[in-house]
Amino acid sequence: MKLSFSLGRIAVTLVTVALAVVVGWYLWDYYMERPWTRDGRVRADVIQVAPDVSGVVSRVNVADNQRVHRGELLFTIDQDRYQLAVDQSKAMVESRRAEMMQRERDMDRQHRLANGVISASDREQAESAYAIAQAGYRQAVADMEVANLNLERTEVRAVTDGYVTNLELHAGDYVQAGSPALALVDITSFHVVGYFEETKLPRIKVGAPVSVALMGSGERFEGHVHSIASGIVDRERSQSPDLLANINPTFTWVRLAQRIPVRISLDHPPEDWQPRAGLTATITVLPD
Amino acid sequence: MKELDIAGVYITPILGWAIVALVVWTVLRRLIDKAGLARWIWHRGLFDAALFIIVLGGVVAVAGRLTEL
Repeated sequence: MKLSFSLGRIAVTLVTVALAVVVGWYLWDYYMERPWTRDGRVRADVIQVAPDVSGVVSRVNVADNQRVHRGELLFTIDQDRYQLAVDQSKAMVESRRAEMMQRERDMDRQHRLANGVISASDREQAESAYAIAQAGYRQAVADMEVANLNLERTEVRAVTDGYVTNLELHAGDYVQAGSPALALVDITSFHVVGYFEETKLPRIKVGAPVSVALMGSGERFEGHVHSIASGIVDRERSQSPDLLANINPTFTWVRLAQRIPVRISLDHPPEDWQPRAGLTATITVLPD
Repeated sequence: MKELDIAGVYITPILGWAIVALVVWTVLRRLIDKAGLARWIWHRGLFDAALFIIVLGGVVAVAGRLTEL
């Protein structure tokens, strides 16, 4: 009786401990090994709108944070100079055309003269003068088209549907051709990127379902793994001036897992959801 | 899995569940003492530690089920 009682006491404790080991193992797996991260970000393609021609901004047609459609006018660069260039090139076209016609008439006259009256050399000169004038005319026409194109490009338009963000452009600013003047967030490009530790990567498969929860709002979205980045920077190695490899000294005991961006596309985001690039998200890759 | 929001500080969920488990665990220990089951336990410290892990596992399982629905 005494012996069986104390054996029972030991058994109860040991069974509880065994159960705790199993539960502890499960908890460890749940928190440390399961592919989930609190470091997810909502991202979007940001188009840096730069004008194709330089000049003073005469009018900004959009307000900050405005929704714009593809082809909508964003801002206009002062057109006077480009209009004058068009006028100039038109005048040049007219002058070249007149010259070309004159050369053509000269050539025809030379052709009508009898063979003995005019030397072959004079005739060839007239022909080549006409060809040169013709080429000059075509050049003037092309110049006019360039001037027209430049005039057209003074109106900077949205290349895609999106949002104007952080508008720091004002009428009167001088903008350089090719230097970004305005940020346009592409509305069709919103996606989520999760930064997963490399130790969790083996459990992430492309196409696996994903649950995305945005910080604060409690909204939950369904998505799936779109793709996994194929490279990140090697932080152990930097470039040295003498072309030798520069590797960080090792710290053998503690190694930190690096993180790889995993791109997630949202399956059916609600219509009224207003995505914002940069929001924080908690991302859980669900088992298939 | 969803993080806990405590006055704007977002913490990992297990911390919150550990606190919940602590409460449940304390109550359970009181009950064991009251019911006189303590004499069936060989090593009280070992048993209590194991009990806490089991309770924590239960809380996480229930909470995980609830938040994922």
